[in-house]
Amino acid sequence: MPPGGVQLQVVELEKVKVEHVSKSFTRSDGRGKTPVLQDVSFTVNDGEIASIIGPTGCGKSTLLRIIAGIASPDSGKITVGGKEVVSSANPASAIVFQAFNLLPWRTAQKNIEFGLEAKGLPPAEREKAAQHFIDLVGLKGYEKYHPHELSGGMQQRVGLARALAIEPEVILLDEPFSSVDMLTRESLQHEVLNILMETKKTAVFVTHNIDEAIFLSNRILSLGGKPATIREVFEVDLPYPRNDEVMVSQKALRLKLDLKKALLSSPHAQSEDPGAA
Amino acid sequence: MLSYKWIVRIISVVAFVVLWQLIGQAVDTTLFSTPILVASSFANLVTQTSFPTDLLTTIRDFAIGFTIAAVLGISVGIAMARWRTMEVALDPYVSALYSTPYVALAPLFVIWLGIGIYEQLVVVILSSVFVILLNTFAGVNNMNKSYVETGRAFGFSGFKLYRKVVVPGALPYIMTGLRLGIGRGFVGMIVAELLVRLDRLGFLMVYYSELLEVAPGLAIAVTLGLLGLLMTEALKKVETRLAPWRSSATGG
Repeated sequence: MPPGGVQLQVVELEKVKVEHVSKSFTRSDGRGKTPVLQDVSFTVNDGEIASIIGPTGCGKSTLLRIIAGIASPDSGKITVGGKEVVSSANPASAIVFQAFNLLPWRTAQKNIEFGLEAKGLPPAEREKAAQHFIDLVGLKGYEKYHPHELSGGMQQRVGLARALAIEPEVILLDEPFSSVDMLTRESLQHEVLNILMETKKTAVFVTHNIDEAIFLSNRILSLGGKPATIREVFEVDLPYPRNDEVMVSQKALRLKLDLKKALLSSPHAQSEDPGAA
Repeated sequence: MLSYKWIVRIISVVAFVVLWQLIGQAVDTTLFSTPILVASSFANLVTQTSFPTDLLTTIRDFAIGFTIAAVLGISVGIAMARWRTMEVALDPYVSALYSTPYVALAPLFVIWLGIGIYEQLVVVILSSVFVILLNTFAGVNNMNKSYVETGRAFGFSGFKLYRKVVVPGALPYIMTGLRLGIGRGFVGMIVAELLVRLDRLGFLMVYYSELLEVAPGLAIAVTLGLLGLLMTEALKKVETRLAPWRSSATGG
């Protein structure tokens, strides 16, 4: 190595690495298994925002739970931030739930501190961290409110702050906007995207909404089939911020059509399988 | 400022007392007594008899017994919900013992433990523990599954998951169990007092009733009623503090 020269840096580009993941559920009658995911592989790079899109019940939430470590795959390997995910102890990722999943007995602030308690942070540090993220998601003044006193949009802000607070390598968002009303949804999408870009977080969204996927992501993975696999990967070559102008551009509309085709061509896209939710 | 709730309550109590006074006077004061007579015999009981110490002993025994029942009921209830083997092993006992009227066994407890605090404690514990246990068990089992999933997703497991997620999540049920337990335990205790002729309030109440001394009998009954009311209200206060989402959902 030349004196004063460049040290070899290991740039850890791949934040999430999903390798050959398969998962099946035992049928409710106990006879046999229903395969849900088969040989799913993809990577998400550092700072990238990826969306997994697919029809309802195709197994995309299951995939997200496997990445989070709260569900385990039958086979395959998950790596988040360079470490293999084997359980949800000391999670490297944080999840934002579709139904918020706030704990109703805790105030907004205590909900945000929740993950920090698991890490064993002393109260003073927890409070300081929580305050930072309360400000970030625009909940100043609502610290002492309980979830039932907050609107859906505000509850999801708490959910986002709770996830950000543990400073995860990756943030996983499971249809985070589908439980809030239309008007709130749009402003929340903007805000969440801004926060993710500001904090330079790597994020994986799960959604069944094509516009939402285009609006948010660098990359869209279409998941489909029974059992589901990654069928196609779309690079979203559109500039941020994705204002209305960008969203109605030739490129965006082309992508929208392609995504629609990809989703519709998915066999059994319309079929219902309650076991694979 | 008095709230609407309290205004209605006060009017209701005053109306009842006045009505009782009037009917008692009109019909037969010895047979039905009157609030004034009851109040004066209450004063009598407090100054002339062992009533104050009896009352304190009753409260003490109940407090000890109920605390033991609460700790036992909550911990075994959680354990049964946590470990399937525990549930399968204990379920038949719990179901059978739940509906046993323990007061009826009070004389047996006297044979085993002698008359006094120990036998009274056993009656209180047995009368209240199972309803607490079953409610705790139901609370853990019926709890929103998303709480536990969230807890695990954010890195909680084992005992910490129970302390931070499962117990608070089951708290509304646990509180219901405690409230029912207070009622069962208290009634069990007073009835046991009269059954085993323990020289306390329950026994005193029967003694006066049998002598057709209506006023002192009722004075004791009212005291016990107020005591029950006080305990239930105190528990409600605790519940509003610990489970605010639930109490506001059910309107207090």
